[in-house]
Amino acid sequence: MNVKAMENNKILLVDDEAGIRKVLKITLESSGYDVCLASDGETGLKTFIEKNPCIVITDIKMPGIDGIEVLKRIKDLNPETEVIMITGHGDMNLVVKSLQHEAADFITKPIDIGDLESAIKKAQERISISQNINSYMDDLESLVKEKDKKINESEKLVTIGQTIAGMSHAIKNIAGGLKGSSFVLEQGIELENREYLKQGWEMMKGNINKITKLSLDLLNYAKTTKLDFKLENPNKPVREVMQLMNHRAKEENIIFKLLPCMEKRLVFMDCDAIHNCILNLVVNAFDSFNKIANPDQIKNVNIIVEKENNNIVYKVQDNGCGINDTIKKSILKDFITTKGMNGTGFGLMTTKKIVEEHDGEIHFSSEKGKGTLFVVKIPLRSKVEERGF
Amino acid sequence: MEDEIQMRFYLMSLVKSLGFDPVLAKDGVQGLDTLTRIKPSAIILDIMMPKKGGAIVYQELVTHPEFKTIPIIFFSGVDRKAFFHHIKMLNINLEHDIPEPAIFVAKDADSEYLKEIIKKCVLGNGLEPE
Repeated sequence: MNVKAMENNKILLVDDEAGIRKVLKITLESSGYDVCLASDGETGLKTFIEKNPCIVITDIKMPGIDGIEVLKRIKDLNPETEVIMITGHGDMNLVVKSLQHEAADFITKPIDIGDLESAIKKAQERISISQNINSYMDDLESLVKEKDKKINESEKLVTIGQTIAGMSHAIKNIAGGLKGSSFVLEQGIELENREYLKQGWEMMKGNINKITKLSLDLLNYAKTTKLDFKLENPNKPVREVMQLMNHRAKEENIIFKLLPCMEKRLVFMDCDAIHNCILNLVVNAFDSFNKIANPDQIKNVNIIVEKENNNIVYKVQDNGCGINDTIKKSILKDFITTKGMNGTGFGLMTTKKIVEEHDGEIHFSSEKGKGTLFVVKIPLRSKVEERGF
Repeated sequence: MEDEIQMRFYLMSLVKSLGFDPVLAKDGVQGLDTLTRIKPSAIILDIMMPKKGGAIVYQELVTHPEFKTIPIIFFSGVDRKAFFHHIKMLNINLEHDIPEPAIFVAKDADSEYLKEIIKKCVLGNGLEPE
């Protein structure tokens, strides 16, 4: 007998006839079973709860709570329990009824010990099979979890791969620029040519700035996988963006306004991440004036924070150059940049990812020559649990 | 032909260091315009440029009776495979196939390597009969 079968050795016998109880206890104990007794249904259920046996043998016909009721209640308490019914001769209706309530087996009176023991053995086998299945299911579950984790990780790697591929142009340009500038500087030293030195140095500085920006973009992107959610005032990340960008707005004659939200409730978010999102959209809005035809145009950039249904909505609006129709389709999908050497294509990807991590939405509308409106919706949640933590 | 001013300066100094005479153009349109006045021994061609990109310039050059013999050195950060595929796709609209670019130097290549290529093209062009 294996270990599990040993554990399944405890039997509860419920019978109102003292003689049967006595005989069966002696017989079963001599066969190695651990037997506890009850003389009626009620005591039987109490003993069941106390001793928690795997197998119950019960007479059907008993005063008070009868065998069928005992069977039903035991199956309610622990569906895994194997219940063997003892019936009188010709109680076929009761047998059918007990089988309907998932009795394991039945034996008829007068009790044949051989029949009883083989019924018990079968019950034990079923128990150990179901225990095995349970442990297989557990193993399977943890296996699936592990595989899931691996798949997630490999998906992350794929994203990183795509990211790197998308960046290759920017990286090659920077590498090329650095090599170019060192050549120019060398020539400048060799020829003692101040113009060469100046140009080479400018070129090197430019490329150092580019690589700095690229690495910071990468870091920001990596950060989106580990957000730190807290309850925050929805205006907080935007006020910081205003402070940060006011200087540039003055320098470039951009009318830069904020319409804060009156919502008193706090929003569950990563303030730094949302700050990065809005900052990125505002930088794009500012950059959109680099390509406008009329330099005397009045330049407006507005940030609007408002409550809409159950969302906090951040709107970033400009009247700059607008987005080209051909780019519109891919703008939130790929690493694309419209800023030539000055962009990495990372900004909007990172923005989108952050918004998605907040279970939010991002979309935009734009008309060439008239301007662009970006809308970020973050669900208003006041409870931590609602996000499934 | 190179749109970025610093890159243009770099290529200029590189060509000068070889003892050749560089002529600079900031995009494809200006480059093709320059070709009406001078005939260079080789052309260094960027791909992503405003107004007229390197692929279109290439197409015009290799189908031109006079310019088609000038060696063209592509110098770009664009992925080589992607660019060659792009050229092939452009071909579909043409009556005659245009040849695959012979020389492609990645933007991050060593300056010594780029110098070698330029030298070969310029000298080779001068020596070889048409």
